[in-house]
Amino acid sequence: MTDLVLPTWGSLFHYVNPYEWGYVGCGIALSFSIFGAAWGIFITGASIVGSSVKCPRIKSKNLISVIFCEAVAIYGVILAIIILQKLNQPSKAVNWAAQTDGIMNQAMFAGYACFTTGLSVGFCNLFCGICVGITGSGCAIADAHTPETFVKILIVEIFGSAIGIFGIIIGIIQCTPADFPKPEMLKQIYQNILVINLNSFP
Amino acid sequence: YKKEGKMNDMLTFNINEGYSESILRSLRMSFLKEEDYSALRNCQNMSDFKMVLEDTDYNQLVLPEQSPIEVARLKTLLKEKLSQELNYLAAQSSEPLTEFLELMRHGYMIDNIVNIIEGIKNKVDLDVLLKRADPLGYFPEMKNIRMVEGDDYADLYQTVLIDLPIGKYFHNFIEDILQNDPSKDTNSISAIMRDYKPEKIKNILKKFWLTDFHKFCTTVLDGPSREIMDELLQFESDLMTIQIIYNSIGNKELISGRGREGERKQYIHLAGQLYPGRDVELTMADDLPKLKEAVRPYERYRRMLENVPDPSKEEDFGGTMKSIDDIMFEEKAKEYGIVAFEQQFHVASFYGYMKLKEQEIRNIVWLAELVALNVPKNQPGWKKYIVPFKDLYQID
Repeated sequence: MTDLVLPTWGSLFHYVNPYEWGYVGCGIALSFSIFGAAWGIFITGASIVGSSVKCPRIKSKNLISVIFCEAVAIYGVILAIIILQKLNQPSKAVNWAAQTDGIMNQAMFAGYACFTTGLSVGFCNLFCGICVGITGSGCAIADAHTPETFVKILIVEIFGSAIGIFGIIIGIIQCTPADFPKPEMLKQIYQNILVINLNSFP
Repeated sequence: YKKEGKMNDMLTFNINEGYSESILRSLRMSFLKEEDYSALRNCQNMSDFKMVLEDTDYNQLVLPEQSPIEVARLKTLLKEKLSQELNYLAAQSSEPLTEFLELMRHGYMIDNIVNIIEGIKNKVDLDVLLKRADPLGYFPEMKNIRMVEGDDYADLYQTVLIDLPIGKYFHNFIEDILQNDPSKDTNSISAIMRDYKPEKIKNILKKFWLTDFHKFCTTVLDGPSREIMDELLQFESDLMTIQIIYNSIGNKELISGRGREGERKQYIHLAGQLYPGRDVELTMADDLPKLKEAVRPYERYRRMLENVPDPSKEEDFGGTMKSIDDIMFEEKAKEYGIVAFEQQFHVASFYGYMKLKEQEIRNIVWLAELVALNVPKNQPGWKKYIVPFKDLYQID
């Protein structure tokens, strides 16, 4: 679409539509976060259920572990919504092949930004969820045996949950400058090109 | 489904075994502590004993019983409780764990079967034998063992024993016999099963069981389950080997050259650190110094044998000497209490729990017998119990 006469390996990236990068990034952000949260919840849930059979007092306190895992899923949803706001629909009348380099660059930048935001948030939350889940499982078992250890292990879980917050911070910074070209702007530029061409006719 | 390499990871362990493992971990709270044992020691009669037991986890168990509780009844109740707990865990678990929990109890099944066969030989009624059987090793086919006419044990083997879950150990046992003496035929099997003493048959069958269990743990399981069970079973095999050799020292028949090569070799456990490495020295060992020399490279076993009296000289217990049984129980309690419960997401804790609970039952029954016989309180026997997890409770 730009002036690439000889195709190189870079064309592999150039020919992918920037909107695809954007939407796939949104999907990755959401699905990997949910994957991590679900993994964490089942790991800690099995242990909580088993430990509360002989020791019912731990039931309510240990739901905090499940809440930490759930928070990870919420981070994923927040980022997915933020990315979706950036992806506005292109105008139907505009032909991509006729775009100038500047528009294409802006679109590609926005696409890559959204995609990598999705990657960073998704994988951060995946590992955060698993971490909090395994720690929560140990917490339930230890709490059933010795009540004083609950608060100490909760501190470990808080540190584990902090890494999910790192993901969301960096993700927001990454996708803030992303700006897909708006339809009005494209139309204006297209009209300018038309005017220039018309004026150059003898 | 792919059978090998299961339970290999902390990420996937809780899918199938999470519930069972966390129930087991909370069951660990139910062990009696040092102060409970002190209270049991200070009881004057069996009614006091029952009242002390009501304060512990055995509350629901002893409450419905009549007040002066009998020792035999207490023992049966305690073992039944443990057996019910293990059955519940097995019912809640799925495949490799179910087979693991069943293999764990084959040792008790072997005891039960051999006792029943012995009892039938001596014309004891089957119902009495079934009542005396160990509840931990219960299996439904136990009732099928009938009187055989003319002592034809080959027939008993082919019809009944081979169908049992432990039938393959009998199979290995008989194959072993036939291999050692190829001229014998199947009629000799009956002669052997009639002539061998029950202890002998039990020891040989347990050898096959431990080898098979060890093979299961090292091929089907994976990850921390494999490593920890490997260590525990090697330890158990080595201790049984050492105990058998020690007990054979006073016995002239087993200690002679022919006895050592032929008969005693049948008892040496194959799964363990001592087997291929120190086999030659152990076979040569015919008195205590040689046995100590044979286990010298293994620091732990050497330390265990230091204070043991020499059975061939019939020494008296004095000073720091302890009998080999006491030492074995202590070392086992330490090992199971610490190693089996160390990591999370593995199944060795089930095995450790069963062994430690068994030790606790032994403690309680021992103290109950001392109380029931009104032994004066200054005898040394009152201190002869081993508290599971003793070292860990001193933290708080």
